[in-house]
Amino acid sequence: MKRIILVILMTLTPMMAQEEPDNPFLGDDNFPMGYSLLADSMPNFMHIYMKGGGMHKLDLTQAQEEAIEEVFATRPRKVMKAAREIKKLETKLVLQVIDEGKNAKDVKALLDQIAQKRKEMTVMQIGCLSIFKKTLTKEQYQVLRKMAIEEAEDL
Amino acid sequence: MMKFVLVSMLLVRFLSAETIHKSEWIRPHKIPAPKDNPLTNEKIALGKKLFFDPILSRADNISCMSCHNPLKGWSDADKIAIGDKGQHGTRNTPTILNSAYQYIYFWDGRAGSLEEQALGPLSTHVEMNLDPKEAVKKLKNSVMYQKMFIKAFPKEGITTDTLAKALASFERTIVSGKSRFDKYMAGDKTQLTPEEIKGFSTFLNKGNCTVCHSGFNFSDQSFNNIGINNADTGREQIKKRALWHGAFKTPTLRNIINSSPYFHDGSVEKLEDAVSFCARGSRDKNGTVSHILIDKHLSKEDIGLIVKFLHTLSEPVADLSKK
Repeated sequence: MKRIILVILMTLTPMMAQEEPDNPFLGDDNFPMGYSLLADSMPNFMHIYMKGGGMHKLDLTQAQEEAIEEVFATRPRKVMKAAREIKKLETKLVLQVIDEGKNAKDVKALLDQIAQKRKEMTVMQIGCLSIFKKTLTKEQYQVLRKMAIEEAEDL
Repeated sequence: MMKFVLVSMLLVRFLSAETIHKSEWIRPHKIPAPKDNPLTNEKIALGKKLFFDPILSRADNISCMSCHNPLKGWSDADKIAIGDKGQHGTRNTPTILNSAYQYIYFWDGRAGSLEEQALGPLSTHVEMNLDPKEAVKKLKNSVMYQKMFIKAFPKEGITTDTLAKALASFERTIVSGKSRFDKYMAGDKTQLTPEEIKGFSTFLNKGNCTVCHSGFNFSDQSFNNIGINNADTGREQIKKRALWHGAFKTPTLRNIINSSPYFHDGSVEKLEDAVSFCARGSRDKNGTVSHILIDKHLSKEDIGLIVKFLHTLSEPVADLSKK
């Protein structure tokens, strides 16, 4: 039985991979945050917390660390899943417009679906920002805010 | 020939345009140091002497340099570090290059300062196996060290604290800036070949390697589980949370060609294989692998280009006679 499942899986894996065409017009893929509704205009506090020593600069208590990291243990999986779905839908839309000549009316349903998914991503992002506001002291929050501004200025 | 020139021009233009934020890739000139341990020439000289002296090991046969060898990119070529009585530790030796710019030390981030890190290997029984207090006793028996410590720390003399401060001071001076990549970033466009530039572009874009290896030190100073399956649970041993299970600090890529084998367990020998391993992304069945790692679908050619670029991050061997 195990062997049969293995053979089926081995046969299906390359087929499954082929089902997802690449978007040839996509250059620098800012994955996953580029798939949010507000991809560039909202800070990503979790990124600042996790990278470049952010978590150390905030000087958190253990309880604060736990509150933030508990979210991080589950949230990215959901964000990644949503971003993958959006990327797939967007690739589909782009190829339909560019290669198949479909117009805005033809792709309306797909467009609405993408907008809805992007909104869902952004809701998750806002939820993440709220955790920091709720968990950090005023002073710590200002440090984080300042780091976010510095990061935005660097880009 | 014309084609080669055209391709070079296009690549240079591509990389010098909006895709690169130059400042991100250039090491800040000023070397940071904590307020209670500012850099002085006396401390650096003392730290350097101590760093190369086996007096800091129980059997007087291992120095810091034994594992952090300047000829090997301030690391070693062993899979797992070899310490006192030939004992093996559990992890590969990370380089100390650019450690001045880091916030957290060791693969699992158990030290929050370079001073704290500096004494770690002394007391570890499979490394130098010498309690820092015993090290202080040994140093106090040396007239040379008595003089050097008084010069560097006039009010304190030889203590575990000043020993750590001296070692940390020397380590802070070990910085990058002389690789071909650095010279290229400083404006000398002849330093990289078109293929190496293309490799950098692949590193940045298609490979998205900067998701972890970002900034001038090519490390985000964060912790990720990249899916190496062994019993070592990494950062989780320090911070008892599921998020850190199997997570290890992102190593720098500087001097990477000199520091094979790779990863915290030294399990991969070839750089091509290490790049390929990371590029394949998440592969852990229990879901603990960092979610930011996704399969980049890199071709063999892409991997080759990235490796070519990584060669440009090698620093020439440090001229220690000048320090």
